[in-house]
Amino acid sequence: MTISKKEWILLALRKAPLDRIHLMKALFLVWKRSGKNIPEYFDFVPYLYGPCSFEVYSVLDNLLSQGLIIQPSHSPQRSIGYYLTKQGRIEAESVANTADLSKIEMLELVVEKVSQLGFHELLKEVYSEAPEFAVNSLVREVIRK
Amino acid sequence: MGSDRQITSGMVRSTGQKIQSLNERCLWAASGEPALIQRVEERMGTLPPNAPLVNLRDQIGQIVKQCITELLQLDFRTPFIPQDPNQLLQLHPGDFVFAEFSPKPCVLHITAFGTPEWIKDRPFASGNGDLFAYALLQKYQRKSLNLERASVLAYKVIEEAIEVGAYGLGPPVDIWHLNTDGVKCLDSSQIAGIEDSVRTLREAEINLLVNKSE
Repeated sequence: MTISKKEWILLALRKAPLDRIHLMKALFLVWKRSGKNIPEYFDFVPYLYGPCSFEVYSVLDNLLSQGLIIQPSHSPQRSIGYYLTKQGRIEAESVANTADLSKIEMLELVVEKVSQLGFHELLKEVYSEAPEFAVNSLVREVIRK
Repeated sequence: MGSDRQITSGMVRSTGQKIQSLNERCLWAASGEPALIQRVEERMGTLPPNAPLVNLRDQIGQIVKQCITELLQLDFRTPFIPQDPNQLLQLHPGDFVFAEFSPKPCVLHITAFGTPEWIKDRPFASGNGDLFAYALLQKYQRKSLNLERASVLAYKVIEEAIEVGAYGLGPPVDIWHLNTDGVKCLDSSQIAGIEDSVRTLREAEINLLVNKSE
């Protein structure tokens, strides 16, 4: 069964709440570690902060408007984690029960690791694993040090 | 071109788009009193379509001057103000900026006096946050940035001005692009990408200084 983009995000947040950049990088690492071969997955481009899929933003907006995830109110300068709502958790559990177990295990491993990394360590990990996606990064040289 | 979205009217604030397209190649925005800006906006439709700014400069200046004159004539406070133009203008403040990419990139500033001036080789900011913006942009004078990086800088400056400004500034941030394809307002996903780039830049800046001092 193919996991949809929305379901990938629900499954990631089922493991741990993540802010937008941590979520973006986790979804990227899943794709990279799957040999860049996941059907109907997010398209990543080398953007100004490394790998980025603009689809992630629109899917997050849809999940927020459907009431499946929430993000506590925060100052614009701070990035706060997304959390599953009760309805979102029910949907995430339902997907987890039917999806390919190996994919879920890999996603959970990545999310667990990413959620423990600070901002700098996260970018360092991603840029060293996929330098071709760091070419346009504004902070590539800073992160390398 | 970028702006915040807070529209301030006396003690009341609301949200609205401040940047507008004048035609397919030109954007404009204003700070100041909504009554004056609305009046100027209504007159913009009378300008010849798609004429370059260099041809429209004095016509726009006339529109601004005319709108201020009309408002002052309508305003019952006017006779009670001494015949000092600066004091009169404080009744209906306004500041206008226009930008176009082709036929040649240019930025036109029109003051509440109706006086037009070209902004050359420097950034321009207007409104309650202008001093914050100028302070944050000062080190980028005469530096050349591509469109994506300039968008990140504009967003960062506006976001930081909103964060420290005590009055008249508020989220969200709008970013528009002007290039050979015309003018375009960035959609929510593009803005989110810029927002995350800004956060990355800010975190790196903090990390750089904090780590060096440890």
